[in-house]
Amino acid sequence: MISKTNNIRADIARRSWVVSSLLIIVAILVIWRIVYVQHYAKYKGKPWVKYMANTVRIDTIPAMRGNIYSSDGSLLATSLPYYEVSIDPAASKEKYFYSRIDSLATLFANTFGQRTKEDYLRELKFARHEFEVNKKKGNRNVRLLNRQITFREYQMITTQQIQPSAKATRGWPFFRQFNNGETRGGKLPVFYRRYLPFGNLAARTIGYLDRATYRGLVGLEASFDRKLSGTPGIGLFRVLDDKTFMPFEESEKLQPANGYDLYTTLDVNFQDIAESSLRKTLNRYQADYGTVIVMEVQTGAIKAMVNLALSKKDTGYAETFNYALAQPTNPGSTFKLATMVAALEEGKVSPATSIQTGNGSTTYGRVTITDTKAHGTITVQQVLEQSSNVGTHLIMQRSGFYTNPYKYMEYLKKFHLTQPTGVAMLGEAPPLAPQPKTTGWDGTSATRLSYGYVWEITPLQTLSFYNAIANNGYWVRPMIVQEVRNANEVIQAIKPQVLEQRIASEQTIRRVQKMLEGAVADKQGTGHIIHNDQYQIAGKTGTAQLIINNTYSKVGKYNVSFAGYFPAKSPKYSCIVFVSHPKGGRGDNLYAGSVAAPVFKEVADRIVGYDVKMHPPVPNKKNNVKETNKQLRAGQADDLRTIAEALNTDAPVNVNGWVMSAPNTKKQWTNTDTNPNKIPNLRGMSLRDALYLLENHGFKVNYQGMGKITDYTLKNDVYALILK
Amino acid sequence: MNNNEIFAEAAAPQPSPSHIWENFKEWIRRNLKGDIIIWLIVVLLSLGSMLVVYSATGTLAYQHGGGYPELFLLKHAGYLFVGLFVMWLVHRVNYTYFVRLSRAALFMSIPLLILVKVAGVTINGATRWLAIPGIGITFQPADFARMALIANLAAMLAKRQRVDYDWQVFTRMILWVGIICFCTALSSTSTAALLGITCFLMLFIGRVPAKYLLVMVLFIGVAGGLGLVFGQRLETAKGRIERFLANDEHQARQAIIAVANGGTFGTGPGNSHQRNYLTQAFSDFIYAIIIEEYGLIGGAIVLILYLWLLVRGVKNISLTNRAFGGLLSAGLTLSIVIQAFANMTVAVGLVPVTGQPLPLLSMGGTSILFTCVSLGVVLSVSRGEADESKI
Repeated sequence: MISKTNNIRADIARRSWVVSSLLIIVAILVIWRIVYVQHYAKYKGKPWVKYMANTVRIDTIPAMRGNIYSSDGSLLATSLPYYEVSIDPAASKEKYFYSRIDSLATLFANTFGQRTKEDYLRELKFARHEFEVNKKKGNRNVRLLNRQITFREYQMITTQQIQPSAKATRGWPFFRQFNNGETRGGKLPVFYRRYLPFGNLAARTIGYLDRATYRGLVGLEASFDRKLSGTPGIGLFRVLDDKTFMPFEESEKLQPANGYDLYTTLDVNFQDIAESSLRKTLNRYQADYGTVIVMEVQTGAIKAMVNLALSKKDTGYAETFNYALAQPTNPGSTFKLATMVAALEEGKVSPATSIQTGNGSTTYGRVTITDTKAHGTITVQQVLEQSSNVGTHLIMQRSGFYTNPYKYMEYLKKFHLTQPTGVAMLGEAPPLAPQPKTTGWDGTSATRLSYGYVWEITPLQTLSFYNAIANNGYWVRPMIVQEVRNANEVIQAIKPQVLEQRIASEQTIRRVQKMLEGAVADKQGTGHIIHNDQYQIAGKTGTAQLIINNTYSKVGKYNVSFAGYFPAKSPKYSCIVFVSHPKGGRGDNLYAGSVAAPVFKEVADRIVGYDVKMHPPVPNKKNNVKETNKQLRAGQADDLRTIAEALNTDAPVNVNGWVMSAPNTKKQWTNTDTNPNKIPNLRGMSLRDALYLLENHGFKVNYQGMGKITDYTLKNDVYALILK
Repeated sequence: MNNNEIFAEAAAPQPSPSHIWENFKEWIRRNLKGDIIIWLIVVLLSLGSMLVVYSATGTLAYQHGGGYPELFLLKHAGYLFVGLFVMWLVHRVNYTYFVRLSRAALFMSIPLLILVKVAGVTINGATRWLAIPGIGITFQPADFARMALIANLAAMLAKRQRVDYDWQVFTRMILWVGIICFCTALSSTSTAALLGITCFLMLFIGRVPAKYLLVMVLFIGVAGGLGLVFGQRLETAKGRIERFLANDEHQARQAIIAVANGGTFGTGPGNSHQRNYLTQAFSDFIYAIIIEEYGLIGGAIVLILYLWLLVRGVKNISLTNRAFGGLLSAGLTLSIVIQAFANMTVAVGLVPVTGQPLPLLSMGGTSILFTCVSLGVVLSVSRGEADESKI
């Protein structure tokens, strides 16, 4: 018995070893297979390990470009998304494709009207057929529209409800997104485009982007590109399969940092005023181009920078090049101010010194100097006011600048006319300012420079000099960006840069300020055309002959400009108007006084009208208060009290809530909101109060007129208000 | 150990290292009965599985777990811990109790297997899981049925060691095998095939005469075939074999690339590249990841661990007085090791793709639990104390 049991057990054991041996053989096979795969096996001619897919994919994640704002917070430039519309006809299942393709073609044909339904169907079905018949050959990216669509259109395509069925499906067929975010072949890749809400307004100053790289190319877009563009994120992705990319954990540090916003000093209203004024004149004189800069005297903040050039495509004037910043020209007579300041500083002449300009023509060495008319004997003051070339030449001579031109150069350098202003914009052209004994300087140079030739400087350069005169001799660096912000956080606040040293003595500054005032105020002044009684302008005309083919052109081809500031007594803004080659006559109707100065005046007029702070306070006459008290007034008691305090009129007493003054009686106020369900009496209220009241009660409101509500009617839940 | 002894030990000034080691050995001896080598293998495989699963679930964690592979690791470690605990519980139970239990389990497994077909949970395109209501845990009834069948088969074979076989005696055994394999094949062809092979080997070990075995092969073949035709997996199985022959299975190709990339010493822990491409890196293709990260050496060690386990399981035959324990132990270890080999041969591209996890190493909670129960029974047998005469 025992031996049998032992035999059985031994047999079982033997058999199990047989089985184990089989598995050991399998184990050896596995080992062999591993070695074989690692060292000998090939797949389509290559070792297996060569088929390892790329694991890491680097993708840049674009950062949102910052916005550009004006000083009043208006949006000047922003980025808007646009979408390309295409479809992969092979991405959907056969049933889906053929049952919905008709609907898709109809939708696109009817909505966008670029192609007919049949046209769409033909192309899409063909592409699908191609794919089905011989794989991979068909077009898998069929463009459906030849333009990029807007965000609104994008929303329509992705969310519009097509069939009003119980099972609400949003989005057009093929384009609707399923839970995993996938579509059935519809593709809407996003592209950002820069958008300027104000169109052409300051377009060149704001600048534009390189289409391909989306980086700033010119203007502020280029100057502050690094701040605006932010840092694109670099995404390291593990490629899991064709569609799934898994970001590496480390890459969180490489998240895109969105660009900062730029708050410029530009003022949309100033810019608009300057542009429309300049455009009118350019159109009238068919000038080549023109530019206007308006600057705040004390801070150097550029409030407007207009550049308009005649488009080659004959589509009128447009912002295509920043002449104000990058086009140096002979300044012409505006430069006489620099000569005058230098001469007064030198002290050999004073404003009252008599100068014999004679018949308006003289020669000095090889130069013939001519005035536009004979001024005879005039004072130094009048030389500038009447812009006498001969007079300027004689002042130069008297000041000893001919014997020692370096002295003259020293002054000009002190006036910041020999180097760029350093405004924080790319592309500022340095002045072409040849010095004595260098190329471009000869015996006649000092003479011709004194009244604005030889050197070429930009309008901004000239303006910054005039601004320094307006600012009592303190030169201020022009600035165009005041803040760099990240949302509401101020990253960088840019302070005005005012030079500590005056460019000339206080006395000299006061003297030349007088001359600039005289140039406009005096009947003989070249800028007299823009004199007005409301406020005083100080400024100087400049008319320079155009250089054509390296020689000065004949009469009738000028660059004209007017540089100055206003109001003359306490300067708030400085401004320069520059117009190149106005046409339409010969002689003085094309001079600065006729072309540039009126633009200056229009800009100044409108700015003075716009900028309330520039108006002197109007004395509150007793009579006015009486009149006001007599008027019917109604509104919130607290509001009325505030107004009354500011205007020194009667305030409502002992009442709260909605109140009105009893008509024609003094100091009698009544509550009008005793019944909370009734609309109080509206007479005497401002439109703002009335709108608040009525619309909160669910009424619609029409109104006409301006002022306070004098009468109103109610008809079908619509209030018609009459304001007077 | 009574209280006094505890205090005495605590009062001992500084236990020397050798002392600690002695205490540890004593603790092991008292608590871990049975074959200590099997315990050792299980612990080694468990530790290995933590390493590999952590590395392999990186992708899974990104896709489903919010990017925290640690969550998967913790869950896996939890299952391993519970599994080891269950194993410890089971190994203390006299294995003869499982005979009666397994008969009931066998009857239960048939409706469960059919229920899977009707109301199973689908994971990775195959419906093999049943959800236990209320606790959100899914398990494969096939695992359950396999254990029950092996235990029963061992009992039936043990009883028939002294009788001459005739068709009637044989039919009862083969009927059970056929029914269970058929029901399993409804949801998982490969599991059914492996179970068939295991049973066949058990019958061989259990000294069933050759002509019966031949008939059985035919029977299993027919039953399995019918299961395929009427089940849900025929297309999958056909497609896999076709693609295997054409080397056109994406997953298999990626696995072979992993093997090739591993070289002799591997790319190192956590450096697997192919885990990103193998959707089942933590389960069906874990062996490919092991080779990629630990090389031929690592792959061979895992292979040897399983073979060693088999050897220890088979060795139990000589420990027991009667045939049942030995057959039970050999059958259960065989089923585990055969499953392991199925996984490994798939990973290295020797056979077509099947959905078999690597026992103990792959992530997958309930599969670990069933493996642990099986090993607990094997350990129980290895204690060699049971009286089988009453079976």
